[in-house]
Amino acid sequence: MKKYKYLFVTIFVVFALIFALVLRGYRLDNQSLPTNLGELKCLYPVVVSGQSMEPALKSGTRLLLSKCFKDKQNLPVGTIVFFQDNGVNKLGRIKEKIILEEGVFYKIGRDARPGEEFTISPDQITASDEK
Amino acid sequence: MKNENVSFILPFLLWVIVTLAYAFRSTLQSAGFPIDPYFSLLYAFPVILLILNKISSADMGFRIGKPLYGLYFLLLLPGILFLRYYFMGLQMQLAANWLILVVGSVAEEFFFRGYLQSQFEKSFNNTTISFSLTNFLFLLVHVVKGYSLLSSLMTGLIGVYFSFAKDKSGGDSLAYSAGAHSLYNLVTSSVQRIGVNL
Repeated sequence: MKKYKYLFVTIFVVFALIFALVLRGYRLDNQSLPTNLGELKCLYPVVVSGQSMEPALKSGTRLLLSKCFKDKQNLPVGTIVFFQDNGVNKLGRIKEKIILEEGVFYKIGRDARPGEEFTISPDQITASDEK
Repeated sequence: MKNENVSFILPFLLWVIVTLAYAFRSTLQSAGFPIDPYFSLLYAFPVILLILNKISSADMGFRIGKPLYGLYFLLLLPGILFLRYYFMGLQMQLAANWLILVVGSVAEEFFFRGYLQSQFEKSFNNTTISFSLTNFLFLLVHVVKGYSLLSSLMTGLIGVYFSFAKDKSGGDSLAYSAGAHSLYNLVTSSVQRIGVNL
């Protein structure tokens, strides 16, 4: 081993770097922007189409959402969510959280269409910008 | 020959175990582990090796060394940091967890500057390699801790300063690097950061 010590150290340094990044990813699962390997699995990129979320999100904007949730039942008001409504994927913003006997529901609005509202259950949410 | 191999490879192996202990620290503690696994391993490994006579206390840096140099290293960096915060007009108040900070800092010095650095020094007979390797591993532990890329790099550089405090070309004793590390951590944790983005 002493004969190959420089080779060993070079390999170990590379291994240690990867090792540390993976462990960091384990510790900080979806708490910050994707700066490491562990968070890559959470990424959910979407491309905005249509004017429903203007002026915040224009058509064609690339948006990096996260599909890892800390607590799906407890998303704050104002979170941008990607959700399914009758099999159609839509992008909206949480306006209100409703707690009923059957469980938690969210009232989702869309910035450019004040009249339009959806009431969805947390299970319909695929991804959000909540980190 | 075999013994040589073991003493060469052991520091790397122990670093891996220590890093794993840090990463699974909260998991272990919530599972009922009675003491902090990270700090206890940082103390335990060098102590066990000392008892088994695999390393000597002279390697670890248990001596008076050069007090004048030592005092310089002890006060320079923490002093600069303190004056910086002082002239920025920030409120300073001794951190509530000061004891843990001191114990933790001494533990890290014990393992990194005391054990790893002296072993690398022996293996490579080269201060540059031993300093950079020790502080690269020190940096990576802070990457696991969740520091940003920039502050991790800063810890690597500050680690080189601590390495000089322990090395025979500097303070020549572990006491100075451990003291400097503790003071540094105390100053950074004692400043009131509310509303100020440092």
